[in-house]
Amino acid sequence: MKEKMNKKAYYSYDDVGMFFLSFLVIIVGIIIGLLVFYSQNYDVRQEEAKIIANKLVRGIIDNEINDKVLSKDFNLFIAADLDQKIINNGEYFFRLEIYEQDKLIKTFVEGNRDLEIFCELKTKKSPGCFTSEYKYGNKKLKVFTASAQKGKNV
Amino acid sequence: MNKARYKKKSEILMGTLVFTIIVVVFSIGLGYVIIRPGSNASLYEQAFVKQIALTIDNADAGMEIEISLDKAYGIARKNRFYGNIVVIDNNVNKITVRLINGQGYVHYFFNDVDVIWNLDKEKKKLFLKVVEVNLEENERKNE
Repeated sequence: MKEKMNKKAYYSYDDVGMFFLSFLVIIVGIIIGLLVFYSQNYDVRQEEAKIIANKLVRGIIDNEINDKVLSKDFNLFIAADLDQKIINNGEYFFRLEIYEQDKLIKTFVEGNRDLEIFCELKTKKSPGCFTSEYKYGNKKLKVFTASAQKGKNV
Repeated sequence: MNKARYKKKSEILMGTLVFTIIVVVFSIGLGYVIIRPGSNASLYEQAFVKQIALTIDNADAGMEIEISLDKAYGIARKNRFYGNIVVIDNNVNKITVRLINGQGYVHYFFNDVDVIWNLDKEKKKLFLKVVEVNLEENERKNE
């Protein structure tokens, strides 16, 4: 009798549903594992923002913040050795302000302005941001830079 | 009577066969998906390309830089990739690192310089010479 019952169960594929359910659980587990693995990211955006800030300040200070720097014709990209095309590709932003005795005398703003807002929001998706201040004689430089470049698989 | 039993048996056999094929196909697919990232190649590609990009961004014209790629070559050989593992395109400031066939990771450098590069496969090293971009070239790029 018992043998007969087992046979019947086998013929009716009672365990097929359970088999697929366990398979589904395994697949979901593997997918979660892969997502965690692929979401790992070497984040160098903060470092990039620091490098841009350093290059900007060097570009200004090398010219000793003279009249040339304050003129309209001054090209900060050339002075700081920054590639204008890359900085304006939407993944970078910088704001450099020059103060003389606490009075703003010149501002340079380039790149994607949205990044400045995202930096203030401080979410997980915020770009790498860097702020610093430098004193040079009676002048002061305020620099804010941001990088959102994560790189990509091709 | 015999015909009916034969039909029933063949139905069971077909069912089992289809079921076995489904399980085998699933297992092979899952194995493929699990083994590919197991090589860690894409993570290393990302790490190396960003390391090279930061090095170039920090460099000044006139500098000569030597980067050891022992580990990168080890991973590429393990994945049977024998092409150029690093490619630098000065026209668009693009660096590509590839450690596995058909894949690669791209990162851009913002330093306005040209990079003369040489990949020494025997010494497993990348030699970089950072040079100034001439003004005409600079203006052309910024247009």
